[in-house]
Amino acid sequence: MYCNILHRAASIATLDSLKFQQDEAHKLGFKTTLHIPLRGMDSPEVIEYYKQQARDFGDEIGIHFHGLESESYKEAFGSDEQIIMLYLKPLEERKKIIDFVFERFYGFFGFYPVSIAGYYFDADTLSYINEKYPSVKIAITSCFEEGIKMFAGCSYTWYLFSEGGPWTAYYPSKTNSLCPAKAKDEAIDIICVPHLNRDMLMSYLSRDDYFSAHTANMQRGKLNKGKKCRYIFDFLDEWLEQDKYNDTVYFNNYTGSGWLNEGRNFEETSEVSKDLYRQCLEYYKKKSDEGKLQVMTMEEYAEVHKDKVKVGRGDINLFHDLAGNSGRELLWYVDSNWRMAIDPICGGSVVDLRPYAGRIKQDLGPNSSQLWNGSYPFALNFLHRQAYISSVVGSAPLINLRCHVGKIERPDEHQVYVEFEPMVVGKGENEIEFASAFLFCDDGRLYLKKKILKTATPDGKVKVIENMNGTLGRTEYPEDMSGITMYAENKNGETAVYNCEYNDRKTSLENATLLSAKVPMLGTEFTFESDLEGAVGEIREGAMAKPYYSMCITQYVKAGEESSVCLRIRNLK
Amino acid sequence: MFKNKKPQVTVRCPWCFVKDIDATLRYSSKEDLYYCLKCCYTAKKHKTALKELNDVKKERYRSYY
Repeated sequence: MYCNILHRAASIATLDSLKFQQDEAHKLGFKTTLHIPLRGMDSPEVIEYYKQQARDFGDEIGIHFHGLESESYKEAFGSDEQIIMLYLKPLEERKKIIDFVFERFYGFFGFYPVSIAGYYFDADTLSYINEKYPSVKIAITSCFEEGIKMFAGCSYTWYLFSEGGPWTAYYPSKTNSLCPAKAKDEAIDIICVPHLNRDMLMSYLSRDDYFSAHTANMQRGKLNKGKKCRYIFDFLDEWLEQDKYNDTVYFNNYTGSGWLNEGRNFEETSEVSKDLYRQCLEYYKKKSDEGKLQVMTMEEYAEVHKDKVKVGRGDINLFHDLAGNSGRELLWYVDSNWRMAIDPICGGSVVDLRPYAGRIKQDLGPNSSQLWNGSYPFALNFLHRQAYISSVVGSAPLINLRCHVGKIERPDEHQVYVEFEPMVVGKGENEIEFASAFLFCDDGRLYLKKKILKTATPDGKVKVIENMNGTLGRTEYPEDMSGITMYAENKNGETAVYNCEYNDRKTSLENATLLSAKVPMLGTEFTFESDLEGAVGEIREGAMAKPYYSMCITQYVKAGEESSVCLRIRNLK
Repeated sequence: MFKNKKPQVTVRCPWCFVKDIDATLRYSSKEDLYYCLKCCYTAKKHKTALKELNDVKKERYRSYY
């Protein structure tokens, strides 16, 4: 696993804490990436310290776009706004601010940076930076799954919505920075990485700032007891496990120095905060000495990524409950077509789906399409909207069954195969043993499979239903589904079409071959396809009190056979 | 007139913490009480609130406590 350690000091008030962080990293032989915000550039001591660190230790220096509030900003732009979020400014203003910051950086340091960071960068902004400042090769561009729950948790004062993006390092598409590019010609030539690695289970269930690589965040989540915090080690170990399923895994720990200052972190003291930070870096050293972790600067990682990571590759993550002792786990898959979360506690149902194939263009700021909300919209989400993809085997809805992932394999460079541990449903003569599986293909296909292992009656046919309840949105609140078109066809040429009018109309077709939902608001078409003889397909348009559409395919298979439905995603254009 | 001030050492509301909400307790000198703006939690003493916050975390993080 490749690891970046990032630090930044927003002002002279945090310089002592930064010195502590830097000293601890250097004692262990690590190089760091030091980002300087505009406010930091107002302080000659901060600038001088950064230069000295780069000179003496080979640390990298870059720019952070938080901390714009400063005397220099006020002088340049005539504004003493107390909180400035670059991504909420109109694009033309953003470009002026970016130019100002880059030129100021150049003025002090004599070069343009290779790495930059911000809590959110949209595609147009990144394209601008790429064109005007081609030195930039890598950027922190979003905070994984920070949005709805963070907003509520911070009493509706933190206006960052960047849910729906990858957790990995990737080249972004030119249309939307949260969508990984399919190929280099579609990509902005800047590698995007997330701000911090997160607990990938708690990212779905909770606010994930508490559960991230940053020890001060762990303290905020009360995961420590004074200077003891086993979560630091469990967290890194769980991320190291991801090396089993992926060719490369990216990890970063970005702790702004202010977090280690006295009085900065609720009930915690600076002494405890510093001690936990030291322990965390020492654990990175232990893993580095074991050959499991390679700590480097962001610039160094950019070279590794360019060489080793294929654009459009599918990534997988299987994360277990670390703190709750529940035995729960969550599986994630991402490629350039979509991102999915699959929950074994719901029988291996798809509980979140972000349809990147639609390549939704979105901008933020006044008069923009999305204003504040930069999250990539979902096509379904179980926690927020009770919309999911799930199955019924026999008469048992899998959403009510708890299971575990059995194996993860890569049959070839374009596919990932996940199989769950066998499950048993039904009783007596209705008992069925089966294994559920997913085959992810990086061309926008997902095969939903059920291998029937054993039935109580030898030649008994088992009914297997694959069902998708789809919707759209970025929040818990329903959004208008008018414009969604449902379609079904069968081998006999019979078809059915509904334009969503919330009338809960449905049609069932024997020998169905194709079901489709076209969702123009997501720029996406979803299809369910079946090759099996005798499959029954049903489409349902939804209603006001049930604001999701449904597609459902029923297949009949015997023991020793496998049902298989292909879920495909396409761009509507 | 009594002034309600934030306590000098910050402590968050245990009940809100369970809901992933950071709500710093306020202190009323008139009633000698720590209280939450976002729910009905109160505590007579700062150390009671700290203890109850720690108790909640023990319930939540069963792997570690």
